[in-house]
Amino acid sequence: MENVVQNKKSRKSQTVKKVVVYVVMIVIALIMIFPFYWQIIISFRTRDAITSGNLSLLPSALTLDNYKEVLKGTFIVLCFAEEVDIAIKEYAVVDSKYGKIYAFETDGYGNYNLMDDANVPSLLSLPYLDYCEPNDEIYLNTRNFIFSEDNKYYYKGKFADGVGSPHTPENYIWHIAIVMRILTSVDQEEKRKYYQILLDTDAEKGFMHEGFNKDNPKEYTREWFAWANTLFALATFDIYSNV
Amino acid sequence: MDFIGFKAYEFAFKDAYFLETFKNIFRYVIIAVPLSIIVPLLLALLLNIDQKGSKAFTAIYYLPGLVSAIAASAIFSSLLDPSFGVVNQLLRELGILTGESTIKWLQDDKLAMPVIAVLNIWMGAGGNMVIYLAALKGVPKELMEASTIDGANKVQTFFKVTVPLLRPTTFFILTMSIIGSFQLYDQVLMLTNGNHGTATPVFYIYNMAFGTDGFVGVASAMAVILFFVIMVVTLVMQKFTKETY
Repeated sequence: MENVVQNKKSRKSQTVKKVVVYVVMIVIALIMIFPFYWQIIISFRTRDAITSGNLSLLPSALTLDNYKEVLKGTFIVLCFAEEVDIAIKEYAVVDSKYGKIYAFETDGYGNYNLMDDANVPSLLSLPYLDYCEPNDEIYLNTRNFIFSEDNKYYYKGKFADGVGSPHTPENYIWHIAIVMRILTSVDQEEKRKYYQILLDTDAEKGFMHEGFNKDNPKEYTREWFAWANTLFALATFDIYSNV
Repeated sequence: MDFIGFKAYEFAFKDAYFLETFKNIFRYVIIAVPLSIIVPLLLALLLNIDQKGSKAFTAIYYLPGLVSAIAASAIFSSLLDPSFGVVNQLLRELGILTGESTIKWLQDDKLAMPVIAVLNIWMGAGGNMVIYLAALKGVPKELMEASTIDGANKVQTFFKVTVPLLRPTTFFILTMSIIGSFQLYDQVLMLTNGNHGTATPVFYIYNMAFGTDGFVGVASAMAVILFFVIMVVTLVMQKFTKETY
């Protein structure tokens, strides 16, 4: 009789032990899996729902929008980029005395405007914009054209030579264009020469300007031009990372 | 090309930031290494209990180890976001955090390194657990029975029989996790970018060589120094292992 009771007791304690072990195992499993679970859940939530601060651990307010966005965005953007690239190669590459060069503007009917503007985006900044490599053949031809008298906005004066713009007075060279020349150059000498020009044409203000007179840097437009200053910092990085 | 002798090494040893990274790694090691032994051992003991479903749980516990360090870090940085991260939200729900107060897990000098250690425990526990499980299966049942017959209780059996028999495994895991600690990089890059006392030697060397500085020579010298540090640590560990046998 006593033995049977003992047996029952130990069987009971066996079951309790089993349950405890399972509970512990499941709790640890939940901790291990939770980061995955959470990542999957928030991939189905809107940005607002994620940042609202209302905590809901169970799947709620689910939406497929994020997945749609991913599929839509990448596919269409890539197709469009491809289309633009084909159009450029087809209609915007012109034969000139510099070889094949990129046109600044074209109407697709065979009319071209061959020039370059100082502002970015420009033809000069194509490698900076990741359109092509700095040693791309058509780009190098275009570059020769940009820095020649055939580009009507290329000015050469006592203090500097570089590209200006229809938006500023004649004979005004843009600092942005000089920075672009540095950033897209593969020639260390050229980089250093134009970096020195940047330093020498700040009209002793310690800042970059929009445009300055090629013969007198003290005449300039826009005292404070954040973009030009930022690009100057980039040029500085570029120069010193190549020392 | 000029030969500059030991100048790069001189530079490396004078670089306070570089020496600081070893302090950072030490702070990581004292948290991560003990945990990467204790946690897997406990998990292995739990799974070693003969019960239905143990295999499924083994698979689940191993799962985080299959994720790449970068992906795991991305998950953690979203979990630990100070304002909308689920960890802080849970703490707020439980009343531990009140009002506008937040815990900046990854932007805090004291917390950032421990958080990275926890992330690595989460990722690495499964692997070490499997190693311990294999070792536990290798403990002869006769020894356990003998100690029970001699009147040892379960705790005594564990510390006097099981733990000594697991010693080679423990030393293996210890050595591997210390060497692994010195190679810590991905998690630091993703979670803190080396800020808040988490810059590791590898992280610093990488930035020295390929960052804005571009001091490849000095970085190479630092890499050689790191190699010797790891070698010395490993040799010391090996000596320990031999002495115990």
